[in-house]
Amino acid sequence: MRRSTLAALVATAVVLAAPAAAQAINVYAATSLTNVFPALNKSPRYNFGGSNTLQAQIERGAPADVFAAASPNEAQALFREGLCTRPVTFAINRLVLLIPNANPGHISSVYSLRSGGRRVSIGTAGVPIGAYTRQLLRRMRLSSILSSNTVSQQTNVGQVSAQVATGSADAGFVYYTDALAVKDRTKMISLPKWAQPPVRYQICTVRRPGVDTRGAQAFIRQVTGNAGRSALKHYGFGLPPRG
Amino acid sequence: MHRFMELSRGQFLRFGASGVVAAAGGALMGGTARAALPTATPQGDDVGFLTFGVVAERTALAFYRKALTTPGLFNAAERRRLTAARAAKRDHVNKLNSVLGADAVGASDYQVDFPKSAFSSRDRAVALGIELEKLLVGVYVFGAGYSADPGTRLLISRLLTVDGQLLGTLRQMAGKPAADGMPVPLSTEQAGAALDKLITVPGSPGGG
Repeated sequence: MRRSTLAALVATAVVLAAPAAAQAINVYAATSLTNVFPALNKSPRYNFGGSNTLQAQIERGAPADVFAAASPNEAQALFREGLCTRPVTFAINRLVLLIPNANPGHISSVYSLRSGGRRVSIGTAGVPIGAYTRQLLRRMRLSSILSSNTVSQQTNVGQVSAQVATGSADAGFVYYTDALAVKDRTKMISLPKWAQPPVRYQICTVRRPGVDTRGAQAFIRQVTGNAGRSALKHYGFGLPPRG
Repeated sequence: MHRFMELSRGQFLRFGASGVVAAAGGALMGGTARAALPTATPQGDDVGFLTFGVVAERTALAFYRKALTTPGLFNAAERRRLTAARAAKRDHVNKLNSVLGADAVGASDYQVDFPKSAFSSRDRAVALGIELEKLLVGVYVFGAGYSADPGTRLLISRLLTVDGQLLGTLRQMAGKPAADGMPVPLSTEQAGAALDKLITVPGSPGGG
């Protein structure tokens, strides 16, 4: 009798546990989080991309459980549409100018780009890195460099840093953390503090039928908790004050 | 009809260029006070002057606050002037941010870090204030010349008038004439390098 009860309990536990173990949550995250999130937690299925692209996928019903964007715009838009919970800021970044080690464009500062004739890689206007770059250039009164140089527009920041690292571009505007990821092949040039737009990463639980709310909330707790903050710091991100 | 003032160089220096600018501005505005002024709608890179303005005005606001809360640096008459300057800075930040709209610079976006010795003496504090107002005046002079939008040029000119006066006040506190010639235009590149030494971005990675 006891044995059969125990066996039944074990069988029930296995049946209940199996789906949870088998179904990893889906985390849709900005490209610049490509290294840090898997290092923090290998279990979720990750979909990295431009935050605006991921936002559009979620709006079309993609099976995301968590959304982590490189700017508040995308997560806040989903929140307003009732498609995710109130987003929280979990990381901070800044923009830098990335150049290849060989520096074929002879670039010593961002102002070198005023003379034109270089190959410059930037994000498209819709993706956060592209929007931040344009905002920074307007603030520095350098928007003209987008017409005086040969500009290549990429749909995510990873493509911008790859273009510079492979020498396909003389310079590119990327996040500090992306520059760190290719530091063996590139050099970074700091950009003025006064002109930096505030780069804030926000995360939320997606609202859709069938979402794994518990799993998503656990992941967000991990990202915003001590382990997450340590991992983010290790990969070069700045941190907001503890909320 | 506009009234023009004629002053000798000596009178100009005694009165102070900022006073002349203010008086001339007042005379001009008197004749056109009822005319509609163009609203600032910055075009393209005009926002550069305004963004620099907000960050530098906020830094100057922090300077006046610190100057007023550091005991023993200024006498009662000077404190009244500094109090008025502090109010002007607050007003400038609000005006600039209202024009910038979605591009407004938040109070938490930057943190002001003055050198430790900046307020160790009256002379050092005044020198810092002069440096800050010079940056603002220089960039506003540049902006008045190079902004594309007439309304933005007007806004910058009005800010320049006030900041020119504040610069004159600080120079007088330092025992100098209120003006020492025409203000030097500064690009945001030149002025930004100086301003960057006084600010940090909270939470920014890599010491940036």
